[in-house]
Amino acid sequence: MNIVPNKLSKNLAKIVGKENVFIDKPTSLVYAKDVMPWDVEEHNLPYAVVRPATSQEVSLILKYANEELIPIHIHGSGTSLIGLARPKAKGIVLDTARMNEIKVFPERGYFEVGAGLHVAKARKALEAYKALLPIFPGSQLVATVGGSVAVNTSAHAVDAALGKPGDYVLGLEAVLPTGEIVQTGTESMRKPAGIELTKFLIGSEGLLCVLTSLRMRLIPLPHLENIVAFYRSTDGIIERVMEMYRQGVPAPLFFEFLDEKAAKISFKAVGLDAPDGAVALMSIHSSSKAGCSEKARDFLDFLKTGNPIEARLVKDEGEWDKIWSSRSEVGNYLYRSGSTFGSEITPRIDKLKDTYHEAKSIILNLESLKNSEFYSYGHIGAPTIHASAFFPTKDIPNETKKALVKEVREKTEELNIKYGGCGAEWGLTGQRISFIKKKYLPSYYDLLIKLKKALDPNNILNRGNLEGWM
Amino acid sequence: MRQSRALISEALRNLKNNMERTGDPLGLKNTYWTDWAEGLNLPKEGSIILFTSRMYQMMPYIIQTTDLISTFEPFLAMKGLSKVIQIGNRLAGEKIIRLKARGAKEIKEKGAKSLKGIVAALKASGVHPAYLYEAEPYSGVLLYDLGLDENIGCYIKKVYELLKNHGVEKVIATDPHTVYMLKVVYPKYIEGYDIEVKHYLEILSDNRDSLKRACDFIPREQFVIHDSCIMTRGLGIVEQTRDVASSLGIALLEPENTKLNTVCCGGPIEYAFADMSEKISTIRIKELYGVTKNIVVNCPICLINFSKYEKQLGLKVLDMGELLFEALKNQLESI
Amino acid sequence: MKGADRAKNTLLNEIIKCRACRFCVDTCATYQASEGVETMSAYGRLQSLRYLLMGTLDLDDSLVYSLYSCLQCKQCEIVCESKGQSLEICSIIQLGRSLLSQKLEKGESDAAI
Repeated sequence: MNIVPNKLSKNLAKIVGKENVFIDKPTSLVYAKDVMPWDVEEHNLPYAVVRPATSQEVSLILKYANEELIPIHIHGSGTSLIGLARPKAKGIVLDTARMNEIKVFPERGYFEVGAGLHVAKARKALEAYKALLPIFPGSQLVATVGGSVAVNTSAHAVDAALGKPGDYVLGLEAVLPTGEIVQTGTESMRKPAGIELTKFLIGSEGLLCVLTSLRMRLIPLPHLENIVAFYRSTDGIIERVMEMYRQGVPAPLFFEFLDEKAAKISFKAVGLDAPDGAVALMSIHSSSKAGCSEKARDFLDFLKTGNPIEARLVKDEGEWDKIWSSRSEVGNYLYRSGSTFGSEITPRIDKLKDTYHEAKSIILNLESLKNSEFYSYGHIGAPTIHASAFFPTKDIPNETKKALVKEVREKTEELNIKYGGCGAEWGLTGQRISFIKKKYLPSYYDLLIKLKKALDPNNILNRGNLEGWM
Repeated sequence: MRQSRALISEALRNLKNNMERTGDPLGLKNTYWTDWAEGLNLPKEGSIILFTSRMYQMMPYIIQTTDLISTFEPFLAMKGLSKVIQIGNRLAGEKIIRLKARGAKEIKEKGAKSLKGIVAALKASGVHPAYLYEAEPYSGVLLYDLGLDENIGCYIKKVYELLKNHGVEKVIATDPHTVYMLKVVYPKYIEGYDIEVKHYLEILSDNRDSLKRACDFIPREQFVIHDSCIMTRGLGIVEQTRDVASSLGIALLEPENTKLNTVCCGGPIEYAFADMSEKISTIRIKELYGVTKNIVVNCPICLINFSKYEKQLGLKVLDMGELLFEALKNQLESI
Repeated sequence: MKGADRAKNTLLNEIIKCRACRFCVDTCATYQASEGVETMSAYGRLQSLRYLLMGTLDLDDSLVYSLYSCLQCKQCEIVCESKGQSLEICSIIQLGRSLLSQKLEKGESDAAI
């Protein structure tokens, strides 16, 4: 494959217009870089960044890519925490940002949104219709609706309460890797039963199609009541989560935790006094105000049977904003004083406590770099533990950073395997391929490869992610 | 994006040469910044001075020079680029620019009105600053923003010495960029920096009862406020604008994205990237006139940037200084 | 030139703190005006500056456009302070410009810093 950038640029310009093609190195670099801590390398840098506005333009780009055998890496927001966003093979980055329209049809009970719209903007647009966007990534300021559905991440939301974004997708428009435009699903309020194509494309992590437009159900905004609880240790919170499921207590929409160490740092970062103990935060939801108050009271009673230091409703919006930020941005706050390497552990619920303690032991005994500190936080009620290794320095060589990411990933994924779980937020390809290969039978991964080959014979889309390249 | 390196290199050279030749960023030799104060008989010396840094007064020339650059833009892709830029440079730096364009004359009047309004308001608040007239230096903010650091250190020291030689202890600046420069940047270059720096809105807000009493004004229109980004995020001056307006009997309407979340007018990059600047202004203008067609600004850069749209969109763009002028014009005889 | 080395080191030590969380991207007026080109954002500008200083990028038209199209309006600093790494983004860009303006003004053909 002998790419001449100017020729590539001309051919892409014929499809999207020359102002929507970039072949300069700075733009390539900015789009190639993601949130992985090691530097961008030559093989990550695309020859061009192309910015289509419609499915038709995406289709022409993919057809061209198949003719010339040039890999295409799809770019939503670049915020994948398992490295899905960074191109692994030199090719073209396809930026979805111009596909960002949202149209709301209250009389039809759905809205249609371009895959490139940032989640926070989509949420704001739906608020005007008193509708809920059932997508809650921590990166919502920049995460895209398309990316969230392509990974099908529940992120902050507790699955038992809300499910996953894909559950709300009535149909979608996508472009297959060979350039065919497909429209799937229904315009009715009842999602199709049976072997319907929407299900194959949701969560396909950019391997089987480029999502361009999503049709999603309009759900009324629920009432929310917020609770904060302080326990002497994270164990106290974990016990409550396990009991909640065991007793069949309805799960809150959000159920988060910060361990004792993380809480001190993040509370201070948002201007709150450092708390005693570990912190749990919950949002109770209901379609009725009275129902919400009752649910919240009941949940508060339930929390109190676990002997917290304190558990109370948070009525003041300003206070809740701070408390919520302390949890949702804790990763960033920790990073302020050094380097962090995280994980996503989602075990069987009765094994939550064992998982937690084993995760701690893993993080404290890493081989790639000694003297790591252990911090943990996450959507504990979902359940997810983000067990993190922390080093109080930015001065770690690139190769060590890669080794650390790999070691933390693989060892914590062992816990997902050991305790019956599977990642629920970050997707399963990229750095998770070793997990898939270990957790499931070899035929599972083979099936994924067959599926990929069937739809993408030239391995054009997001090459390297299914292979597990870094 | 094309030819950006040549464009910026040229702009930097012009700025540096202009400053070295004349001490003025536009390279103009005549003291254009004193016209507004004719007849006001402000004292030329005093421990408290009004400091315009020539920002309002530069506006008519900026319209002309950036218009010239935009005219030249299609030519930038051609060969012989440097010659074209040189012509532009000579035109920008020379007296041959006359205020012929009607637009430029109106802008000059707006600037003069704003400054007169500010002086009248300060006096009504019991503050009678001096004005250095011809001796007034430029703050150097463009040198700093564009990173001409080699020059900025020397320049700042010269300005500081000049101010000290004139016995200046307190500066009341008339625009936020100048306040930022003198209050935040100068101390980084001068040990023991001891000049107190305020924006005039801070003074007026502190003395708003006196201002209220002096006003003779029944505003008939509603106004939406566009905060300068440096005013709010750089200096933390937010409520003072509202307080002063309220003393004039005006309850300012807030646009979406206001106060600390105000959106930039696009002005700071207009000298080089006019297209991008225009797109930015358009986005903000739409937000503003969604509230009302009467827009109030508190920065001369925002003023010049938005004034361009007055005729196109039937807007009225007023500086806070112009509002003060209207409210106090009956007082102006007594100045 | 000692001053330039110091500036370069300061810049590299400051920009390494950027986690590339991209929270600043949507808030930038130039990002909105360019219909969502990520180079037109604090994240884009900081990373371009970093890789320029590391020698991966050159001081070409694209890089100059990136660094000198920043409005210095501090909009990005608000979200970086509350949710990100609390970087003084405008000061970093101004320091970057001070390192580069000397070269640009002199019209030096050698683009390496």
